Amino acid sequence: MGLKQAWIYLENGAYFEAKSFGADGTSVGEIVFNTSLTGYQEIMSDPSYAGQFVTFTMPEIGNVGVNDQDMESTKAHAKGMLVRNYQPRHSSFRAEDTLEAFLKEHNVMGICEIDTRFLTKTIRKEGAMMMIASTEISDKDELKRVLEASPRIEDVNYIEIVSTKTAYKHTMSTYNSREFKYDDAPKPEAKIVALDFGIKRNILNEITSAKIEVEVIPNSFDAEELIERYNKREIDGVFLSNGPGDPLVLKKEQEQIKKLIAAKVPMFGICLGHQLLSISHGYDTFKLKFGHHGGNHPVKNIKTGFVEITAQNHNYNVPENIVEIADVTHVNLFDNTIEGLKYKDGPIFSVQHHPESSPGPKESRYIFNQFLELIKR
Amino acid sequence: MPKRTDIHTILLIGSGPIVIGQACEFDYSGTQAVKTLKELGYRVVLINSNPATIMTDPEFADRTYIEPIKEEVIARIIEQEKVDAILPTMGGQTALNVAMSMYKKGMLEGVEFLGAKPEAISKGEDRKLFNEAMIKIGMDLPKSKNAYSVEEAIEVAKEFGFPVISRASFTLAGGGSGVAYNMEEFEKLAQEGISASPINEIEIMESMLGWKEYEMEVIRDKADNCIVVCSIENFDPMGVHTGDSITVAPALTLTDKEYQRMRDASFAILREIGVDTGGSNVQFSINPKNGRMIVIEMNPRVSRSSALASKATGYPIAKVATLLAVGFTLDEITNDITGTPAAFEPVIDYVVTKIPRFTFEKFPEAINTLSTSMKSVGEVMAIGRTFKESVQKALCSLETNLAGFDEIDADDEFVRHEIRRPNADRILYVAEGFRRGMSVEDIFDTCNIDPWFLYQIEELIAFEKEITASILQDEVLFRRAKTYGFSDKKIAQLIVKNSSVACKENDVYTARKALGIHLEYSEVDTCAAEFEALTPYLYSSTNITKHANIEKRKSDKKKVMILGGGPNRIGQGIEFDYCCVHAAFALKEMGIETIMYNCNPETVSTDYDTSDVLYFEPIDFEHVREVIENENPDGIIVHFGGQTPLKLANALTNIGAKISGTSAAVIDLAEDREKFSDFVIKNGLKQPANGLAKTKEESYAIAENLGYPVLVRPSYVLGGRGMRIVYSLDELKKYMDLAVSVSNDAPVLIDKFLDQAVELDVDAISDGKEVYIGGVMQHIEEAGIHSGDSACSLPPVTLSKELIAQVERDTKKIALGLGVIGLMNVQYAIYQNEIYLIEVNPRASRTVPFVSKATGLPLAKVATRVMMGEKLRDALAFYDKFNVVMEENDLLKPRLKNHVAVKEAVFPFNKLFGADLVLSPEMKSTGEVMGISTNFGVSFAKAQIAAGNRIPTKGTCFLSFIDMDKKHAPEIAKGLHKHGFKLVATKGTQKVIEEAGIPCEVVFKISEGRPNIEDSMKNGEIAMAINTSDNNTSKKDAVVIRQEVLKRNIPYFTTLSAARAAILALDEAGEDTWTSAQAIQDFLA
Repeated sequence: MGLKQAWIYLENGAYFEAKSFGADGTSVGEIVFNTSLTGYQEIMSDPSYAGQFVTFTMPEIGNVGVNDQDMESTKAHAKGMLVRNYQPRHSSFRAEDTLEAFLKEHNVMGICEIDTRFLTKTIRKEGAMMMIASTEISDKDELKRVLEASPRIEDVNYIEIVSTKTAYKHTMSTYNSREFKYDDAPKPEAKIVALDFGIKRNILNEITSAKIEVEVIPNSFDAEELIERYNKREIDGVFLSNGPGDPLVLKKEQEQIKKLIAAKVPMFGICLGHQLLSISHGYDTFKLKFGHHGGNHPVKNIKTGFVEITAQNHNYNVPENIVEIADVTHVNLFDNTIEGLKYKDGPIFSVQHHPESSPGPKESRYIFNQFLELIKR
Repeated sequence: MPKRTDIHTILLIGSGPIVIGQACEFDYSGTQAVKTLKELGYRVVLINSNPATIMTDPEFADRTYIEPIKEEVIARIIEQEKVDAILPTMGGQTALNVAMSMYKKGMLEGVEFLGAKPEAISKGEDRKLFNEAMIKIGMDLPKSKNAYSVEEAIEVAKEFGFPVISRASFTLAGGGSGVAYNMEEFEKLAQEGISASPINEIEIMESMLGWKEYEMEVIRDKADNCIVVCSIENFDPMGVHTGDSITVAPALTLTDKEYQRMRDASFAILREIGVDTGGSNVQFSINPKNGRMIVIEMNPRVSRSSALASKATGYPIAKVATLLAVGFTLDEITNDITGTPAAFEPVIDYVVTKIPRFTFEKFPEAINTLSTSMKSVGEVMAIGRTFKESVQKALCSLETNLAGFDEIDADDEFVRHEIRRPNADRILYVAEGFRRGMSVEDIFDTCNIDPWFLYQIEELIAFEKEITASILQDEVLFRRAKTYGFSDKKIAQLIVKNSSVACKENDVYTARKALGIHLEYSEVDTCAAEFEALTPYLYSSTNITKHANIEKRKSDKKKVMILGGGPNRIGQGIEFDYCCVHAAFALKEMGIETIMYNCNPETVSTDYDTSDVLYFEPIDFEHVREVIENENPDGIIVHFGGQTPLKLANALTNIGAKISGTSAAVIDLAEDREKFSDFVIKNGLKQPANGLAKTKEESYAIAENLGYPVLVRPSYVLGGRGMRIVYSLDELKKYMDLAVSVSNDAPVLIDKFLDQAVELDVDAISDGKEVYIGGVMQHIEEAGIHSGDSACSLPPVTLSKELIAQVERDTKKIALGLGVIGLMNVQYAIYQNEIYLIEVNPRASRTVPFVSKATGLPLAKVATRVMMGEKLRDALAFYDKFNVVMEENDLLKPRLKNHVAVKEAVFPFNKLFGADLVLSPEMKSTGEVMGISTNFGVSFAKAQIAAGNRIPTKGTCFLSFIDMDKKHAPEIAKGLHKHGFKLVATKGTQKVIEEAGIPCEVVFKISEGRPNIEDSMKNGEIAMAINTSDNNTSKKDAVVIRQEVLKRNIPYFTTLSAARAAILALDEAGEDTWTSAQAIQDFLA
């Protein structure tokens, strides 16, 4: 095995020697774990993981290579991936390249041959924490020094990095897994703008598939302008996307969202969007110990009683007392945290989990149709 | 919604005897179901003819019927017990088929189906309905058509082209199904399939040979919540029955988009078929070139795969399915492992490999190419952090003496041939192919195994070269070898090969420990460590990361480890798992912490709540030793898991492990022929005269001296392998030339064969001071048939009280003389009114469950207490619930109540095409059934019905005896004639019968012209066949006749004594008595 040596150091003092199969260099980020058995490419290209190292509990990674279709954005955003075993040779008729080449292309670290179960247990017991990985620095003290000198995840506004710089129209629709291609969007019945805080491509696919025309705009949006467009019936609603980092630091975005709330613009938010709506209503989020990252979380739909197995990726959560102003529509059965809200006072609803999946189960897709119902006029 | 309160009494149908395609996984699911229903407060009625099951223990169900799983019996039970509902989805295809058949006949009026409704079962099982349903929901299906005649079938095959698949409808484990590559093969297959199908229907399908194969284990509740418990990927591509395929979990070569497509399809199928609640399994095939996904089939019930999925993930599918069946929804059920809701999808952070276990060596005539009919008799599962580690551990678990990918001595052409041909050892030939320099592309083109798996094997083989003597000092390389799953033994072999130095497994072990490389243990926790695991279900792995401290499980309690039996195979099956489970239960009752150790995923022993701690590991010295080091148990029970753990007794004793009960020295004494002979003589007992031959010439002399017939066998194998009765010098010469290679190291044992002797089996328990005779069983087949293949009766039917008393006294003498602490089994032969000692096994025997059920005293539990140091009397008193134990003539023994229990063996001949149904000293049966009543004849009849060999009460009986038996023909004929049977016989036999004044017609042997006996059988004119045989059974006629008997499912008996027993059964005739139903609790009370 011609893999390079790599070293990692966690802020709790743990130090490991491992191998590298991704980009060379030194990188600092927050370590989380994801329990999905499939979809490593989608996870690595999900902008919500910006600033994070993802520990994959699935031990064999690289098996199916990478391909253009499975990108959730234009690049890999995570700081790196930590895997038990990297498979340099893949087997999939869909594969176009190796995971190794992909990581190197996007300058993302790939750490392998490390005890990922131990890392997962550490995160479970001690919570998500900062870490450093390097192919250059082997010295534990030096790693510690660099780590401590680096900004923490909550100190960096990753939204500025991952959000689109210019507005664009999304034209693709959802993946057709019989023909292995993306369908064209059906004829729209409503139109929205999507606020891009690091949006996953499949959210946009699901929106267009729900017959909603979507224009994606940067996080530096102006609420007044949107309200005006809404009042002129140029748009029917606003979507608030997922995205990386701590929502509490996004003061500018919160101020704009407050205006949209006041103007009764219909809104739907996912993940970070869901959290921003809560904060903008005056209910601050709190940080979970190690978050929810995976594709197997049971979420109960309170209205139907149906249990949806969902894709999850969040470290923050809306507070319990938000029930004062919103009805809880979805609950996580693992820890009873709130997963979905419908605000009592306005045409706004949101979910914490990822109904667009990719990777993950698809039974929550119906939510996008509810968005159409909400905004159709 | 909580549990349903509108139903009270629930009937659970078991799966009957262990056969190919239905093993102890249904005891596992059924036991979970019974326990769950009882805990919910339902009245549970159970029917299962298999006494070696945990579920039939009298304390589990409220009413337990060890009766044939037949419609008329079930109908009686439903009436007697006022059954409200039946749960037919826990007992495999047997339970499902009998329930459906009864439903269609209107025999289940007013009885509700729990789990799956009849309409859903029909839709899932009937290929035509299934295909219609699949088309309706837009699923892709292989082209297929049904046929009801060979002519019809041929037309379809012409249309589809070859290869083409033919499947018989409504058969279990794909019986009568296969792949045909040409018209000749196809015609044969179609004919077989049409006969095998109870509705004479076959389905002919487009072949997807070489495609990838997947299984999804799914659960649905009544609120329509669906989850995938586990995805399974087959290593062997399409064309091999999934039960015979090496399989891996989770699926490893799917992108998320492909995986979700399969998941969505599984749910759509579940919903369309209409499985209301419970577990199902859906199988898919994927064209590796373009991703086209085809639905193969679905099973609307728990299956072997769901047992595997449960063990692979820790998620108890059968238990959850049971709760769902009585009204709960998934979110109302708690996942015992983590305390979180059961409404989620398990994830794992390891790779699970299942490898099936075959026993073709027992059936040399059987065709051993794997196909779409299942042929394996058992399986092992291994868990590793990577596929490499997992697959090598699985190979070590197989009990075929592999240390990993062992080398194969064969020419290149043969290796290539065996890579192409699906066979039991194909994976080893693939590895050998790499060793010979074949490329991944070349091997893929030859066998279509997914390149991903081939890469892994290629890398393992490439790594073999790096394992030289220097690895013993190289921590990094050594650790890598261990993370790749190389066993210490394999590493030693490779060092010897690569460095030409002496190296033993123990040298590798010592060096490894010196370098600080230990096996570490992780939990199987359903969640990849996201939550804390509450139940210690553990597997080993070598850590890629060297940690300064390795976490160890902590416990202050006294703890005892039970070594299980490994994979099911002929000679070692569910009976031993039953004993291990009982040991765990007994220890729990003593407040001792129990550690179960096994590698067979089908079993109750590997259920996470059977013991306090579960190690799912290969049963070899390296892995057992490491667990002992990790746990330091206060005792180890090696005596309950059959030969597998027993053979470790010496090695474990040598490393200072504390063997509970009977010591390794005693085990050794019983197994060492010379030491044991001395023991026999010293104690005034008798053995058949015998000798030990180290050369061919010696063997001829010994045989001559003893006088023919003699019983010969190689000394180095157990369980009857290679054992043969030899009647002449010619035969002996043939045997010595062909069957064995005799040498100083591997002598051949020769015993005087006690012709027509009656054999006895005795199970006993000793605490070193006193002995309890658990039961004395009389074999129905005469000496010369392996005890595991012989039917037997408890109590004995024809022996005098005095003789039995002597047998009991001898047994006591042996137990005390040897120093047995715990269970012991002794086999005797009664020859000319003298008692001969055949064999002593100081361990649990195959008959322990049968004796326990028949007498009501759980022998293995009592023995466990004794092994923990309790006095025999106290241990007996603790478990004597039915007031069975009595003292007579200084002996403890069971007070036999007014019933007779008959055990009958069940054989796999119908599954192994080409195998001959002759019984011999070599064991061939896969399972057993029990018949119980107050009369021997009736019990025998019940056992026959349960074994699928229903004795007819009228019609024509075909008789054919070998010369030696002909003198007994009139007696048999008379018995049958008395009951109105018309008799036909082959010429010689007919002559003897007619001379005795009994009407009997001659029927031609096949070689004698037409119409002959084969024609008569084909015309359905023969109701029963009695056909005795000897070694010269290769005679073509006899073989053809027996094959026809098998194919047509004609009741048959192959020994005189069984025929006599059948006549006794007819004497007590009346189908009515035979199908009466009485609960075991009533017999024992």
